[in-house]
Amino acid sequence: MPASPSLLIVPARFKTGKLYTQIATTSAGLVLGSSGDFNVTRATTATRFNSAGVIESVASGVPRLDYYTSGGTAGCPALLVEPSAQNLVLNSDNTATSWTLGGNTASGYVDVIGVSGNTITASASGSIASTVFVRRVLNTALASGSTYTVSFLMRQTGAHTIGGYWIGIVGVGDLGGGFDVSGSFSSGAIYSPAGAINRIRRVERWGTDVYRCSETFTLTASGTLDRILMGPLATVSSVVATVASGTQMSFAAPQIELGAIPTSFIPTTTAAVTRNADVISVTGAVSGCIGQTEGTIYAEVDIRNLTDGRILTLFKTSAQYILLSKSTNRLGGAIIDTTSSPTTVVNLQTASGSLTSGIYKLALAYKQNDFAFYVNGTSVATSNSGNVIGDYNIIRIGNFDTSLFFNDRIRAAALYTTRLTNAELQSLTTL
Amino acid sequence: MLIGYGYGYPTNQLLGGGNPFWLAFNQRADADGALPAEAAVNGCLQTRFLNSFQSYDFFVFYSNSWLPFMQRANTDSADAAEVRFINCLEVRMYNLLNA
Repeated sequence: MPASPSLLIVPARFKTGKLYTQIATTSAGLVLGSSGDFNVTRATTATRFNSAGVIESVASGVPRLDYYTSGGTAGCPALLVEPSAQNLVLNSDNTATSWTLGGNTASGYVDVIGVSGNTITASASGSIASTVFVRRVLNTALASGSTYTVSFLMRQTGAHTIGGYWIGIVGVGDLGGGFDVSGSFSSGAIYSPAGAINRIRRVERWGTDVYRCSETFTLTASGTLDRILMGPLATVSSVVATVASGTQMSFAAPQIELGAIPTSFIPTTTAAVTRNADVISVTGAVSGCIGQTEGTIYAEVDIRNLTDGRILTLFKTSAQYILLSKSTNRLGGAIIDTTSSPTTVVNLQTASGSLTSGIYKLALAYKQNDFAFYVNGTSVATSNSGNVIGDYNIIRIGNFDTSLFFNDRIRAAALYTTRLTNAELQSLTTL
Repeated sequence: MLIGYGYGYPTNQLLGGGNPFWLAFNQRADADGALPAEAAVNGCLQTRFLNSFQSYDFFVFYSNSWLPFMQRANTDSADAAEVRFINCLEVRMYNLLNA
């Protein structure tokens, strides 16, 4: 039997505090107008990758339609939902201001996809350890046991393809990484203090000859973040290898933040800056759009960060809800009730370790003793045991009760008040 | 059986070249003071909208025929078939139109 969505949102129109829903019709046949639209809260500005492929600021409370797509090209946009984050690097929006150049270094202003950066040229041969860098003094406490991520944009301006960063952490030691942006990319550690573990380096293309390089690490000792340096490197794994005079790379948008992934760039000047989380939800009459005894919850997402996050949640309380989620290694659809035993009604997931970056369409269909979870046109798991709690009255996009933010891009979401057939689920989720 | 067609959407919208539901959505956003539509809105995002339906044809039928019919009956305080059989009646009407 064909079915029509009771709620469908393809993020497309917005204003401060609001994200417009295309379709919202209750099971009683009431067509919702503005009461079906999502409320958006983010009490700070934030940045996005715009339609021109440039990083730009978005005003407080405005949801972010982000145009970043695979390969760093501007493509069809999607809703970027991120948690709160703080950039600890000062003067990150202009590395020519209050940054210090190494002795044998020439510097020139360069725009790196909308962010003021520096082209660093070795005016005499040297290494990043001696002269060839741009440096900013910081003075920030870092906590033992916490995970941090360093990121920056690097633009290739000539034939040279290798550059890197180096941070000094008093009490821990120097930590640094090198990145080669040629070919299929490679990276290495240039400083490896004993107090930093679980190091993960990444390179993502963010435009023509522009790459976002990042490294995540966990501290096993507390320390003080003293400084950050960036410069061209001769190899990805040696801070002392000498680069030839004339070697050149450009750097911009440095960021050090708490967390396991690099989030969107946060410009700073003379102090650390916090970007608040994107809290997006709707309640009220829209509860009539939710299948309370049976239904289907669907989303289309662009996943690039393998972190725990909630994609779409039908919320009754923090103990009773239906959701679509991602974790570090899998996708899931679940109906949870922690007020009774067993606490998990149904939890259907893809195989552990199966999640990689890419576009996914996923749907969870639910009805008493009849559950199915489909991803990209394939049945992942089914269950013939469990009840549906009902009385769900809040719809959240990209978060769970203002936590577990998605940290990725949502292309579309929909609800149905019927449990779609398996054939319909297959059709709906086929890429 | 009387079956509505194009119910709720002015002719100029249906003839405007864009999807009528998408046009209505944008008109509502514009009237509410939404930020100006970006180029993608009537391009790839409209396409994504149309591709997000399990059955777009059925949605058109639902929106243009079944929903107005039900709303008119509700406004007139009509009784209805038992809720669990509403869907099969809806599909029966859809199948009749598409026979």
